[in-house]
Amino acid sequence: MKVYLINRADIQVFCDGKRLRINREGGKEYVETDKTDGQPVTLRFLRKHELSRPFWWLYALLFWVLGVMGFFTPRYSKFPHSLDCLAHFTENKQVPLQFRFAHYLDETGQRTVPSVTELTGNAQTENPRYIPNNAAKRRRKIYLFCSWLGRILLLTAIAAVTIKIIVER
Amino acid sequence: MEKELYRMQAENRLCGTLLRLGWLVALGAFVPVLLHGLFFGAALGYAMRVLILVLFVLITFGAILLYESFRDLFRADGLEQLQALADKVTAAYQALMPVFLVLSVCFLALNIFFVHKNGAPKTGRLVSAVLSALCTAIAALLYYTAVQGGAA
Repeated sequence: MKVYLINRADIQVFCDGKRLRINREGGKEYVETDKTDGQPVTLRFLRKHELSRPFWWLYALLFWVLGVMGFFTPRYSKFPHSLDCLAHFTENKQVPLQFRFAHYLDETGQRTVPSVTELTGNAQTENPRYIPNNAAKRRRKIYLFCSWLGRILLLTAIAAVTIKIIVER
Repeated sequence: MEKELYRMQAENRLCGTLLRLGWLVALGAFVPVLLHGLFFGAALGYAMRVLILVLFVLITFGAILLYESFRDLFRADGLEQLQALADKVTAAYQALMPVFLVLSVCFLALNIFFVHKNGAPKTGRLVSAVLSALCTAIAALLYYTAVQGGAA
């Protein structure tokens, strides 16, 4: 059964502990479950910021070095919050299921629109909201500060060594 | 599940970094070609300048040639310096170009491997990786053709 994912971004889909391969069809992304009709299925939509991992500083340092002072490595996402949503439904190949994702955090607690909604089909979602991850937000700021400090220090050191070599010649 | 997610993120980041480094290598491989292009542009500019100076000489019936400062304008020291720099860089690339080629092929292979392993739809990334490797190959081809032409 194909489960279509609208506006997925960097959310990954798991089923029975296995990550499902994301396919594309006519500009739409979808995953396929390997269950037979009538079987209950639980999909887990998971999103965590890269810097929320343990030893994040080692990870960031490694890619900072590999990416030549971080200039040639992709930027870390500005959106630090986590999503861990479960979707329960019954496998039915006749009725396609479509989920739509929204990417914002309801910090006010006033808005009622969840981050994961089913557009077509029938499914029950659990925890369809982003969870605040202020640690990742703080870590990204620390990374940016240290990255620019490192760049300035390293470039200054290179310039100083170059000047010294030229003068000594 | 979280472990797998983090592993996939690391692989994606590695792919992105290698892709950017691939383009850096492609740009680096084009430096001798760009330098020769710059030399050609400078030579063209010098030719234009000489043409204008000759016009001045014709207009003044050669009298302007009595001024040493005017005669100095015909000198092409900058052009010679640029030629010397281009030659030095070309000589240095005898060692650098194979390194660039190997790096480019490695980056492309790793990108294909990780994209295939991840199973995510990343056609754009693959196309970009292939293009960067192709650019490096074209730069190497131009370089070796020019070197062989120069040697002959």
